[in-house]
Amino acid sequence: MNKELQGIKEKSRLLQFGYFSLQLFVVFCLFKLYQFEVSSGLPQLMVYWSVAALINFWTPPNWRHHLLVLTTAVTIFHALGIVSGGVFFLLTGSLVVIAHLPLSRRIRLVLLLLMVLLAALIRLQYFYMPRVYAAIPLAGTFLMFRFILYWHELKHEKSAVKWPVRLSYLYNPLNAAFPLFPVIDYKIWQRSHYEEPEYRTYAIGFRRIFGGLFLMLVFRITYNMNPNPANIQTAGQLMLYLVLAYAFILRLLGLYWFVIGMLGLFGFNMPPVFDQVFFITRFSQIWRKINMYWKEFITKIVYYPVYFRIRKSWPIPLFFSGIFSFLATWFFHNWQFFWLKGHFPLRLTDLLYWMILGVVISTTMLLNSTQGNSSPQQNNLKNTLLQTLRAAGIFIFMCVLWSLWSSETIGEWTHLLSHAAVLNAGAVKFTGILLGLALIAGVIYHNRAYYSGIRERFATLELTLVITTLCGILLAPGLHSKFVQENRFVQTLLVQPFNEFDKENAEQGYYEQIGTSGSGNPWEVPMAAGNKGKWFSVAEEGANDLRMRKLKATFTVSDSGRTFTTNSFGMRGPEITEHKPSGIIRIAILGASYEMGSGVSDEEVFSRLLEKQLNYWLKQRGSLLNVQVLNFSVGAYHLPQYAWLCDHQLFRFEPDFVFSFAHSSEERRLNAVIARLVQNGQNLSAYPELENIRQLSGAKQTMSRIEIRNRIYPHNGQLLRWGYSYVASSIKLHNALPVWIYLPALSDESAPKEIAELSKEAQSSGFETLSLGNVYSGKDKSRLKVSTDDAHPNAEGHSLIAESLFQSLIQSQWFTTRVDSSR
Amino acid sequence: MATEQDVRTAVRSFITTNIPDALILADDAKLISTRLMDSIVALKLVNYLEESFKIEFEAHEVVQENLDSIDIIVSFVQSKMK
Repeated sequence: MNKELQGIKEKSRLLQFGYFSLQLFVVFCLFKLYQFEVSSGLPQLMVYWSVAALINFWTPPNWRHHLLVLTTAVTIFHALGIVSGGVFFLLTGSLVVIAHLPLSRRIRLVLLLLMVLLAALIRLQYFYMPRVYAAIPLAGTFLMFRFILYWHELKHEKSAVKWPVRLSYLYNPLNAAFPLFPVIDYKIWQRSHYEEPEYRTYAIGFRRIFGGLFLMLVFRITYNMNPNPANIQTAGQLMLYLVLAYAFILRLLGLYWFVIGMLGLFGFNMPPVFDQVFFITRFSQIWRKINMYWKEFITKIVYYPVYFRIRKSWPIPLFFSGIFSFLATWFFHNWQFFWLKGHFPLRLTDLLYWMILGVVISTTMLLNSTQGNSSPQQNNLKNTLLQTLRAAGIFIFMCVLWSLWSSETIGEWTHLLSHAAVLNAGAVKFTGILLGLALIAGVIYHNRAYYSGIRERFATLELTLVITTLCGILLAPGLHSKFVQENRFVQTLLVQPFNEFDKENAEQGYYEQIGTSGSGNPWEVPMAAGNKGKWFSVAEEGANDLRMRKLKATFTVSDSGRTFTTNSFGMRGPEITEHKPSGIIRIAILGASYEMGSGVSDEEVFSRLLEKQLNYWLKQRGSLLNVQVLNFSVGAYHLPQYAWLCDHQLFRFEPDFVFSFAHSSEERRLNAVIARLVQNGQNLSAYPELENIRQLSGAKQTMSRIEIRNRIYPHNGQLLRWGYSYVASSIKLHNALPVWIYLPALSDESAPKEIAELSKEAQSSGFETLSLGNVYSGKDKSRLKVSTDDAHPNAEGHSLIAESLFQSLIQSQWFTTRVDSSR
Repeated sequence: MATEQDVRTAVRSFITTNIPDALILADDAKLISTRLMDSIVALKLVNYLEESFKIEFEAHEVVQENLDSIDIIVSFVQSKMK
């Protein structure tokens, strides 16, 4: 132990506690500022864990495992409530009790499997048990791997382990906010508890926490730079996508690092989870360097048992044990997906990913095993170059393989890779950047002895002190200045907005899909699969035409005082007559979920508020006219649906104005809608231009959504022009005034250039145009959303939209002229 | 029957042959917990010990508790030979 650490030991425990609390406070502030993993409920649970860590500091050693279990209980009841929380402990406790019953191991195993089967049936909604159902995903994430390890170790346990230790292992409080919890080994759990001096363990813990948070911030940058795979057209874009999609593991690494760092604050000095993941020089290292805990788990549960079973009867047992291990990894990932999401994805690309990895790694392990001790690598230029080239090769291999894993189908993957043939300046530039990074990695590798010396010198305390200070600077008040609030890069760090791809809620890949709950409440699990847990989704039904879905006629659904009502024509709003009565001005609204009022109550939707404001305004002007706003909007509608409404419904109601709403990234949204139409096999022949574009692009129903979108992408502009022109001319043909209105989405940043271009396009198609681009100016947009994960405007947001639209209308000459002419 | 010294010599010989950087290892130096010895080398060691001393390992015995240093390995092999 070095002098500095000795010196620290001699300091009073109170001072140590002060420093411990300070660092914890910095972590807490970082959470407050950067809102890490909000969708997993991490910031909420950090409060409990921080308090528990402070209490743990003063708790006598014999009671520390008890404290952890108590923290878990508090955490679970916070997440699930009293009833479902109780169910959670009943379910998981039953498994633990069965595992310890004084019966033969075989009988206990049968009982355990029956319990798991019962839980699986509830997860699949065979029984209607909402309170039990709500507890299953969390129970699954707690026990799906650790209980397997526990059961395995129970058989070979030599000395009796105390119950608090057993329970703290199975009921780890951190697991509640981490569906992707690292698979901690049972023996390491026992062994690592205060095996190092207390203060050193805490210092390592804080260093890992800060490291984890740093990786999560880096991930935010890579995530936001990642191009939408549906838009990739050139080799340069493809390269960027391959690298940044693989960089998703930064989030996993950050989370894992954070978890084991937090465990350090409770005295667990866990081994590292990963090691130089972007500088792997042998295929056999991929397995053990990226997620060491997983590798240890599979080795113990599958690899060794299979090897010992087949070693005398099979040829090359090392190789086949490896293959079985990767097959098991594939199965366990589906197993994890099942407990968290309620179904087995069973994708061919997933299986292929694991099998390619399995064959490559097992083969290299077999080859390595036949070689003896290779002498340590000489640190010369030739070796450095060789190692760097190897690392670059394996990195590229992993990026390409990861893209296979992220693809829905093989066809989508091969189509994606086909863009490699479209060489452009971006590809050359990106190759240069990669070479530069490889060079830096090579220099670090060449001087690794020097760098490891620096790391040793800084041991733990000094480094955490430096990191804490740096983090403190990051919290400086300057971060809240106007410049920072408007700076896109800093905003990327401060909040984690959805990137362009995830805005469409079409997340890719395995971890991306199971890392979030998809609803506002991190622990909420919707009963009916696929409805995203929205209370009003029952008001929608399928439509066997271009709309694909519509609102049910004369339908009301309520939730917590909010109502969603449709009239007999299937519009959100009050009952109306088909024929327009005299003295009425009708405004028809064509829009999607924003305009429909997703997540807000009937009276809060801006169309209703606008109607009231306009009628009041008319009354003030002494007019006897009344305005009716007819809302034809339905979630996911866009220009093809607007066109269908123009052809089949809209003009029966004799509107005077038709407001066609647009948002940012119009082309992307339209592209997604067209892809959905193609994938659903909708007949586009009623719109020859649409059908021609589909044929030209080669998009077919059998293709994956991403591939269809990618093929349509080059025609986006043409599609938009067609849509605007078709809708505007239809409206004019029926003597109504077409009005194009730009309404920014809350998840979007201001894009004046795009608004100007879209507006110009709409004008040239025959629309009058209005922009509500500044509708949220001066407001904290995060407070205008329905929930953290639902970027639709809440009641306050709708009120702002109504006010802004009202002001724009009464200042528009075309509106007042038309209203006056109707007197 | 092999003596403790025979076992130690055999284990040390295997370790120095199969693990780079192991030449300077002390008998109590950690092998698995420091990640000097990976799962493949551990299996090779098991096979080697089984052949050399006519003992049989089980899957759950290939763990850190039994193989983490030359001292521990020697002690474990001796317990298996009894």
